[in-house]
Amino acid sequence: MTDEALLLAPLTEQAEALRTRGISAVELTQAYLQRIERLNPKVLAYITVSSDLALAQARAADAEIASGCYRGPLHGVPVGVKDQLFTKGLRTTGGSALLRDFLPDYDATVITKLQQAGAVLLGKQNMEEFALRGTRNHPYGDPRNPWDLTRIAGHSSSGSGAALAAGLCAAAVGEDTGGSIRNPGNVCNLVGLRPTFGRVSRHGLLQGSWSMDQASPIGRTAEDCALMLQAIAGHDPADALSSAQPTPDYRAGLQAGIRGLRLGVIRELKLDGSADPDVRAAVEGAIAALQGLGASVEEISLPLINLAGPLFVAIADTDAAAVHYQRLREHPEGFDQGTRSRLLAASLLPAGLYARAQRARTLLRNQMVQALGRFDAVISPMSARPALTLEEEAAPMATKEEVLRRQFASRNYTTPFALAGLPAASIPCGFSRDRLPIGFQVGAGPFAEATILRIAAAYQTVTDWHTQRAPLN
Amino acid sequence: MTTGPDISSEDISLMARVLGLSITPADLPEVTHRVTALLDQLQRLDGLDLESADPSAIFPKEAGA
Repeated sequence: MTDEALLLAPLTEQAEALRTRGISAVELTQAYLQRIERLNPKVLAYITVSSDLALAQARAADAEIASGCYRGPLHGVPVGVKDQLFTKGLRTTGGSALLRDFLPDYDATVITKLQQAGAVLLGKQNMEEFALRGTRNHPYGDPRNPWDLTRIAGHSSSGSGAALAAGLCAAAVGEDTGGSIRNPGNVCNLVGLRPTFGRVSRHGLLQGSWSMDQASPIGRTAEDCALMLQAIAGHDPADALSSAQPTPDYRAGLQAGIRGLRLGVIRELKLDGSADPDVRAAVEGAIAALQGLGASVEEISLPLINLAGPLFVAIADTDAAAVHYQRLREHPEGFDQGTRSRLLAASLLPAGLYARAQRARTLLRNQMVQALGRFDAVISPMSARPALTLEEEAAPMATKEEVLRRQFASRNYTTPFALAGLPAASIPCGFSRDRLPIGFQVGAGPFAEATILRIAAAYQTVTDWHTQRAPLN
Repeated sequence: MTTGPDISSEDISLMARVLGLSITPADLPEVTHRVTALLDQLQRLDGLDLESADPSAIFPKEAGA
């Protein structure tokens, strides 16, 4: 297998090549760095490439592996991380010009865990400003979808999606507040897994919404995501809200199949005639495939889900406006116009309405958890259409009706799980007639990431969508 | 579609000024649309039994459990 082919292979294959010393970590890292140099100008996936650090880590990994000190499947594997995670001495911009020169003096816990696993850090990946969807002019260039360079690579971990789809890392850690790892997974033909809130430490993560932010893995396969989640999950005393729930072996059940699992298809999110017909067909095909694997599927109604978009905007945007309270007053011109208008609007929401939204959030959560008492997982589309063009995404919202259309309805797919603190993943399930990736979503109860991964892995035994690579390659 | 309160861009500008924020003329139309759209949508909460729910952002089963 050539180096180029290995760069596009699942992490598990790269890990095996490293373990058996079919390739060294330095060789693999150099190959990725050369590919980044060649292709990053096209996809703008990275803000900062940490070549020296990566090669130093790769040399250390090779020495350890050669001496018999093998740390596990991530040892020597080159990965990228969203530029929302603090890296000591390595600039962390949050995708904003306002933090162009910010050098953290400590590593995020997620970074420390990746280092302990022996992973090699290729660099900091591009993102929407401060993890808020809607950046119009990315200060570090607009990340582009390797499947179609005129289209977005997803919100807001766009660089992570673009990098992985373009073969510029073996896997990545992004972040998901309201869909920010699942959306790139959806439009870049990847598996993006949002963990249960509290599953992964938020220490050293630039804050978006304090009650929804979760660092999240994105990979080419369910197993790749399982490996990445294994490395970064777990209680952290530095994050008061991180869970002490034991971390299971996420790979253990991947081959178990899904015969007998009970799956609920969320009625309120079913696509109607207004949706893209290719998306609708792909999602229906995914559900049929799951039934073919022996899962039982029935419809479930979650009426409050149709409020998720407005609740998310009311809560998450207000939380973000609080995070940027000083900056909005002292340096409003430093924000991207899309970010600024979103934060300014949120700053004007009365506190009483924020509290009402939080109450409604509890009702939504209760409804979802109750439903998940009858089902092992729930299924929905990821969106009603494939990736937007960069031009569509960057257009200002010129009317109230346009805000309603772009801000709320599209968020009903991903934000319910974030609001409820529940895990969910986007899984590749087909392509549009224009060869744009389509994904479907699997969500589950608290700390049921293993169930989600099991379903994804089973699905990937009878489909090959996830094996297909972007034409850029 | 619900119909929210009739809020003008002048209202938005005044609200912002009261809170120590400045909104440029270029930003004002979109900020106005965003605020009015959100207030419009949040009127949908009026039909819910909100008193039965705590405004919890973190749920006991996960937080520190």
